[in-house]
Amino acid sequence: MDVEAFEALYHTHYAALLRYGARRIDHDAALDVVAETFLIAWRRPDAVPVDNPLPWLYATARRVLANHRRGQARRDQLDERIGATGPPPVTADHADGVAARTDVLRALAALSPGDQEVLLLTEWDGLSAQVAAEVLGCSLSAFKVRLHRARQRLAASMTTPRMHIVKGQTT
Amino acid sequence: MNDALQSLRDANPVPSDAYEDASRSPGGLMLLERITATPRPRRVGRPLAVAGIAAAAAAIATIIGLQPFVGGGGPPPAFAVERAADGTLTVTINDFSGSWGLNADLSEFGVRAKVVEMQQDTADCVVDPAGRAPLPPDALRPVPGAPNKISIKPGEIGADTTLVFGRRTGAGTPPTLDVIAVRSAAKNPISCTAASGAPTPALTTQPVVNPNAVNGNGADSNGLTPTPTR
Repeated sequence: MDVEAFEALYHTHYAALLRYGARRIDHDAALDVVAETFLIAWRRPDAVPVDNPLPWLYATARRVLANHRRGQARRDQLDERIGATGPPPVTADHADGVAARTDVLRALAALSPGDQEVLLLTEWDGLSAQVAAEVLGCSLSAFKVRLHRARQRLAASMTTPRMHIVKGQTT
Repeated sequence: MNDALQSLRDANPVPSDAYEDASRSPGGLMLLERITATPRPRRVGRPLAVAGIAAAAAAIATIIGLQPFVGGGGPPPAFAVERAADGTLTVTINDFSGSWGLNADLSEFGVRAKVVEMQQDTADCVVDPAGRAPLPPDALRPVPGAPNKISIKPGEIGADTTLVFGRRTGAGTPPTLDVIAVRSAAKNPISCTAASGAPTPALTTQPVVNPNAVNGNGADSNGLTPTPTR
């Protein structure tokens, strides 16, 4: 891959990778993930499929992101999961919208990392099942099964009654 | 189930058309320029045999980074990472200033690393006991007869550990590679003696900055920052 081809790759997919990162970590860290991903692509041009580079880029960004997260200090489990899958706090939105968003993020956080990943790749990143399967390194049929089950578990998680603490007791 | 999916889509924090022009922003173009100005590693298509009986049987190393310098034309590569069949990595550093890419290469093998250019003898530096990461004895091993090499077993290094690559200098002797394992979350895990004799609060080194770092100056989050050197 020559410089010209790399520049085309960069401009074509930069935004998608930045969105991918910004949906999972803070913006500055997402920029670093993008930089590291393209650096790897530049240094290993033979590894990048010329005709269909997107799955490789996502898969690489996913590994870079995982490495980034590994270095972060451990936090409260719930906060960590919400932070890992959600965006910065909402600052301006309708109250109902905020509540709904909080509920779904809470339900998402209750799922396994694997379930979260298949849901976010499809519902947030907008990847097709085929591309998402390539990103995760599994077959299309296996991915579809995982996605179906993850969707079911998300729905079940959202319908689970939330517990409210009243005077020290859970109800 | 559809309601749940719609709620999830509505909670997407980044619109699908966000950052469309970001690659052509000043920051995006600067990153592109830095990446394409980065020398690409020379890759070889043949494995590198490792000496020894075991090597003959199984330990065929695959060159991941640059080809180790074995003489001949051209300057030695800045660094190289070789992976043996048992997963052991051998890191060779010939030029610290060009070794920032080592971080990315080691991360491919699950090893978090920070390459720094020591501005003073690392023997003058001390590691805060609270910042030192415990490692099994065989996790890091020097390579006999090769002061610029170190052997790493990635499986023995925990996820919360960062390897700091420094250079130990000595009077009349060539600099040798010095690798310190610190806890990734530790703040200022290494301090070095300043010229005045007083300890400096942070590692007195110049990190080998990733020229592609778009966020800050390449400093890590654990205090391995480019503090002023003597």
